[in-house]
Amino acid sequence: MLQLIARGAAVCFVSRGYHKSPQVTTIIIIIMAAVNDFKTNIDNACRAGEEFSKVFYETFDKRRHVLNKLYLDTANLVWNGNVVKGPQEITKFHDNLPHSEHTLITLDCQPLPDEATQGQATVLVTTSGTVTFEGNNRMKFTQNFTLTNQGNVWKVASDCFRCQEEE
Amino acid sequence: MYVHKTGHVTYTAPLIGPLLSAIAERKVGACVEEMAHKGLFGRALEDTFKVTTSRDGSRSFFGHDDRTSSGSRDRGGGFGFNRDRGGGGGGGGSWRGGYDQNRDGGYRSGGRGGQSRGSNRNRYRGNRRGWKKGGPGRGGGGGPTPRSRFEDDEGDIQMSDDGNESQSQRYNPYGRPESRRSNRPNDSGRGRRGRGSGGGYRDLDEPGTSHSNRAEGGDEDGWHKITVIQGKRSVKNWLLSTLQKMCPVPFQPTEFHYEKNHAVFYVPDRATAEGLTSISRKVKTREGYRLVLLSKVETPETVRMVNKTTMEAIKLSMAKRFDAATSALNLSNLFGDIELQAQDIRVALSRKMYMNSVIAIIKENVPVIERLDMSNNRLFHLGDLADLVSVRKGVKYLNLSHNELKSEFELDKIKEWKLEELWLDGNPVCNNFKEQSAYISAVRKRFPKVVRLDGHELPPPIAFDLESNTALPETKGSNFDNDVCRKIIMDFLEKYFMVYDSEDRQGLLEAYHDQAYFSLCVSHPQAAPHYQRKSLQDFCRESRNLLFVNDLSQRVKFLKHSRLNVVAFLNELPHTQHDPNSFVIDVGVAMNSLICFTVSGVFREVVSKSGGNPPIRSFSRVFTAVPAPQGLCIVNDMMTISAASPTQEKAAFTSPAPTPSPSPVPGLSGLSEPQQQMVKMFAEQSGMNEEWSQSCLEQNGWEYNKSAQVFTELKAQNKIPPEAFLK
Repeated sequence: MLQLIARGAAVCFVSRGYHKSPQVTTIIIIIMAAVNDFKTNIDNACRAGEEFSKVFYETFDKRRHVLNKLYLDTANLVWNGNVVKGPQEITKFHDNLPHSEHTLITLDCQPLPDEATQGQATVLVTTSGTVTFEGNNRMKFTQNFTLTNQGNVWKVASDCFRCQEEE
Repeated sequence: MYVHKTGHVTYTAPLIGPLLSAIAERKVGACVEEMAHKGLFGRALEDTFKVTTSRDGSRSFFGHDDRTSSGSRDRGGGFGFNRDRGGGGGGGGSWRGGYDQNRDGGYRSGGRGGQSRGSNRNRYRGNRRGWKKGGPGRGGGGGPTPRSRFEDDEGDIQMSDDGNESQSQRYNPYGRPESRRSNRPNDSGRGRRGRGSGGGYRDLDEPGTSHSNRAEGGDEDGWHKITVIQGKRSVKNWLLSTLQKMCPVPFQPTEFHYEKNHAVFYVPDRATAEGLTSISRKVKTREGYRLVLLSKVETPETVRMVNKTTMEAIKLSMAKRFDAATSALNLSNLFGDIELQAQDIRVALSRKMYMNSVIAIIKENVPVIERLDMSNNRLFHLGDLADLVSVRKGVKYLNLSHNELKSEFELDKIKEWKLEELWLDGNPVCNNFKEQSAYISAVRKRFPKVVRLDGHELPPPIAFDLESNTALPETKGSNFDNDVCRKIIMDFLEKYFMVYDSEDRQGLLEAYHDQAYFSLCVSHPQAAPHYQRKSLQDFCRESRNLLFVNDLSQRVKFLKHSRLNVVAFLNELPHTQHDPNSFVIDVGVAMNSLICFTVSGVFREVVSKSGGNPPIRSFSRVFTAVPAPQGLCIVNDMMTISAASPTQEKAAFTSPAPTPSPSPVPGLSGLSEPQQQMVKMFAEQSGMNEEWSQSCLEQNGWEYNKSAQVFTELKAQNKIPPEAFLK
């Protein structure tokens, strides 16, 4: 959509010979930048989500004791309906879970529109897959996270997990 | 070709009985001599004969029922512990030996009046386990004629696929009519292609073996077997990707393998099979051949089950054999179950089809098993039972006594079970150990926690105080951060799904923000059972699974952005009906400026493409929304769809009226703010509970004074039931 507008604008300006005017050129560049921004934004969100899902599940399965570093101080975990608030409590909760093994089947990420977050870069990550907790049957799960960018580091603001018996 | 003599004798024995086995043996001898004179088969037969003598012991087994005893004994070595088979004549490796015996046994027996009918099947059972390991033994015997080599090749291709079909049903490229495969008496057998095991399989239906009602593996719309003629000439990857590209219906091949030079795989429904046959002769290979695809109804062995009536009967019998108090399932001698026998059903758990069915029943009906008794079932391997291990982890007691297990390595397949008590006595494997301590050690190696073996107490297991707990926190229902949140979300969802489930989803425009994002993901594992893979294709095309969609432009394309795009896209998705009773809601973020919550549950598609029942899907949607004058305004919407599990399917749409699920105060949902206040006031003044107060107000059109008047009148006449005043 934006791309079309940008192209249209460019054609329009160029055909009218306005392109020599530095002001118009600036406008075109801004529009183009907006298009690129949109793509870059999505690309960033996707990469953040990809990196995150790798790190998160690997840490969860293998080095769960450092998992709390990923969570924001105000983070919120909802695990199968159990609400846990704050990194300490989350650590405690995670420690009590049996050893786990996650296998991802899907991953999807979306950036939140700037209007909704007052400029705070935020990404939604949704995953689904199977998980086996030691001594339990394999289960299907879906999980979603909101990640926010805190000075070059992405942190988990909320974490929602639901699983159900596979069969 | 090489060892069939031995095989033949063994087959014959169970059928005609021990007394005849000697005669049969003599016959074999005669046959060998006679054949040897012909020269053609001479060398092979000599080899064969050698093997026979070296393996004399195998003749003494008499499997009296049609389970696997005789077959399994012969093959026993196959698990790795072999009696020496005496040289290359036996086809090399032990497993191979079993296989050759089988095929040739059938072949021979065809030529000799079909004496081996009935028990060939046992052989066949054995083979399947053997196929995988068949490779190394190959060529050890060196078929004496091109013909036999040819057969041998065929065998090897078969062997590459562990869970393959019975040979009687497999694709026959030369159009040999089915009837030719039966063991006709007086058939010379010379020109036939060693389909002994196939014949054996058919023998299942022989009168008297009680298998007349065995399953056919599915109706017309079930699994289809696709054969790509000469498919081996093309590289597998190229072949599959080309077919997937050309085929109008997306599909996932199951159990891809080769049969001779043909590529073979299975697809789960007829639509897919028809899609594939429609592109037959339309695809050119790189070499310029046109690919010919054939399809026929056939269920892969790995998913085959017994038919419905049998299933029900087994289910009933299993229900009687299950003790819920101790979570104990007693499947001991299921074959000899009197009630099942009365219905002419013999459940031979050593056959995968029956084990599959039993496991399916367990999955559906028995959530927890702690004690499992599998004794007296003639199990000769535990590969099929292993399917149960991953789904029912809690088994602590296992009785495997009086089966036909030959090797301790079988136990490896079920070692995930943290057994505390195990019974193994009466299995040949027990005789493999010279000392009791070696036996215990072998068991402990797999099950370190076992404290009782065959009823004897064992020294306490080695334990460290590092045992982690395995209990999961209790699963709770919907979680709302607070009641305000709950109300907002419930109101929103009710409206949202009302429009979403309607014919036209344009009304959703209101619900989305200008800059809203939407994306969709289809979640189904590659190894999913067919019901999960079935026909999610409407959604698959737009699935933005970042694990597979790597290209940025694709990622941008699949992410719908802006209100118009999102709603236009939603409008194209299949019409649905959501089950509000299935909804579970979790609120992740609840701030004044932003709310993020997850709704999961099931919906069904209103129109069924395949003509059957409309499919039921499981979904999970993550909504992120900002406050808006009329409630909420969605900025992000992420949908994950998968097929509903059998449990979900069963529970779906069972509650009749779609009442809005968990509401803050029962009975007061759906009321406006002033109405709620009115109800409360009325309840206070009249002394009735809120429910009755509400209905009274409703019946009087929310006119407070009129309601009060009616109430007073009725109360005076004593017409209000006492429960109205229960609070």
